Amino acid sequence: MKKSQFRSPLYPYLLLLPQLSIVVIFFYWPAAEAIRSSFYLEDPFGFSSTFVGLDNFKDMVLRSDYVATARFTVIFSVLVTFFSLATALLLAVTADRVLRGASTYKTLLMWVYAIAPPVAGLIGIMLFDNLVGPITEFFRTIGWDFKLGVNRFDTAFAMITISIWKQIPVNFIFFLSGLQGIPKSVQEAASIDCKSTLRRFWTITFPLLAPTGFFLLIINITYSLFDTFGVIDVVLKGEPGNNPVTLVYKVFLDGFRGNDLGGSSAQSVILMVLVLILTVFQFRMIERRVHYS
Amino acid sequence: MTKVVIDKVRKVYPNGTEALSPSSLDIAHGEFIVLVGPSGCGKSTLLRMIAGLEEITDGTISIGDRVVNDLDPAERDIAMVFQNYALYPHMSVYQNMAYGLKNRGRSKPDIETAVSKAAKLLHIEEFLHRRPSQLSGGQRQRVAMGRAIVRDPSLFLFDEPLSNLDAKLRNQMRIEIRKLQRELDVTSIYVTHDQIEAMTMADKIAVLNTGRIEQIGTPSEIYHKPASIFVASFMGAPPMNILDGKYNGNGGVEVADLGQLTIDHALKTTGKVQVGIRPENVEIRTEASQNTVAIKIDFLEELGAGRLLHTMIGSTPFIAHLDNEHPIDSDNIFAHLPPQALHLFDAETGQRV
Ligand SMILES: Nc1ncnc2c1ncn2[C@@H]1O[C@H](COP(=O)(O)OP(=O)(O)O)[C@@H](O)[C@H]1O
Ligand SMILES: [Mg+2]
Repeated sequence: MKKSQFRSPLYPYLLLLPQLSIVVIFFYWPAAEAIRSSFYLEDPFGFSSTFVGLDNFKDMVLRSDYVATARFTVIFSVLVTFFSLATALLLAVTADRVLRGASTYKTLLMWVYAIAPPVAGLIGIMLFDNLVGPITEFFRTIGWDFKLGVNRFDTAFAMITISIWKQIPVNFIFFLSGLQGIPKSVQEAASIDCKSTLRRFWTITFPLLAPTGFFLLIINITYSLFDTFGVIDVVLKGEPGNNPVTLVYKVFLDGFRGNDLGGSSAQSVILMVLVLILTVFQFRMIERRVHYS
Repeated sequence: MTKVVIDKVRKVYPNGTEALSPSSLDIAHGEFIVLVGPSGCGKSTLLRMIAGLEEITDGTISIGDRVVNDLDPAERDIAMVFQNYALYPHMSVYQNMAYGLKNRGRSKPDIETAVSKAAKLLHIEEFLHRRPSQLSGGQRQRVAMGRAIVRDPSLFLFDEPLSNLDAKLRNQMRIEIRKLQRELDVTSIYVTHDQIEAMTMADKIAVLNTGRIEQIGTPSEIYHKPASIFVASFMGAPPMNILDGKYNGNGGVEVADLGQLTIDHALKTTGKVQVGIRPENVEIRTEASQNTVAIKIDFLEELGAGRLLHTMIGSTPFIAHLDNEHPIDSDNIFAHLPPQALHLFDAETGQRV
């Protein structure tokens, strides 16, 4: 690579300054602040704080509601990740059969990516509305007295379904482009070598999609842990009551509703570590990602 | 015994393109037949219908004694070598070759024997544990061949398998594929746009042009008795010289800028004709006689084993192939077009007359 020469050695840093300050002000500083306050007990009015060491962390893991929330978060993430990936894969495989060579459809489907996730989220919530939601209506006609926000299971069901629903378009587009990246002749060679479509899928298509799959797996775990905050908040309408929430939502509840800044900071530090692990994992995967050519 | 019968097979793609008008072709057991023609003439379409990768619009294809129209590719007992090799990128060479056998429920020791036998035949034993991406183009080509022969199918299909190789390797593989095919005695259909490949490899050639089979014959028949002006000009390098003329009804053809050419047989037509002569059949003389024309040398192309003399007859380019001994006196030369070497075609239909 060609080296560019700057007149002053400070010049490149000057160019980086705006970006760096944004990162520092909005990411590192709050993160550092959260780590700091996780070691302090703050009085509810924010006038004084006492250093308490690891007490916040100890309290947190000993409290049964934290453990329950953690357990729910795991279930929630596994279900959301699995079903949003599986559904999207199924849809992408079906679409790929129709799409081979038809590029107009492909362009149209790309629009799904651009508009779908936010809209899908809104529509999903409308579908489950207690009064006018058609899904709620449908459940009632089949005898399931669906009560969003009242029944724990029903609320969890809606949260999970909407979260899955919202993530499908993104996964779909990635899977579809992954599928379209598999050479047609490889699929054809396989159809000569193997009669069973299903077996061909598992032995040829699926392994060739693995790089896309790994990438999406990380993206989806991250999504289900963190980006579902909005969905949960809308479903609960800010009134969690007795309903299950995820760890991220609990950070918000404890910190801003419960005014327990120390405890909530401790929780967010744990989540930060989780993100760190996921990121490291993702980079490892990208590094080791097999490039077929 | 595997003979292949293609009976009035036609292909119309969903977008309405008729890629192949009804065509018939019989292939005997063990025959190596080459489908040749310019790009877009429908060769791959026909091959892919035989493989089962494309729906057959009309007509029937049988392999052995089975009509295969409604069989899956995997049930047709064929193997295909693709232009870009189409190896499974996530599998080792061994796995690539074993895949088809495994799916057919062959036992592990069976597969091992078959793969190592094929690998030995193709000299790829040392690559068995590599991925395709770790191989050169020539090696991938061999693996693709290996994947085809390991299954011991009753029909080989090749779709331009050598066109991604450099010239030297291509010549070598050409010979090797042919030797292998004879050894294995498997009926083969080979698609190429390269007429040299067609001439050198085929037992029988089918020349295709815009979705039609123009001629079926041995390489020698195709070369020496082309059935149409298309075949005449497509097969052979440098191509046949073609001149426009008019048949005068009694053994002579009037050619503009040349005069009258005597021909060795009477024609049924009385209209416009086209006269063809292969460059190597043109004789260079130093004096005028019957069927000669005075020429001016535009350019001499040295081939080593001979020379190509480029000239113009009127406004038509004309090439003569000369041997090395032939001295050239550039002031006073004549091209002689022997009557028995002339090919005559109806100018309207393009058919041989
Ligand atoms: N899937 C397809 N859909 C529509 N037209 C096609 C398709 N495949 C090939 N064709 C058309 O059919 C004709 C023959 O194609 P092909 O058999 O691939 O030619 P060749 O192999 O001789 O170069 C071409 O005009 C090509 O554009
Ligand atoms: Mg082709």
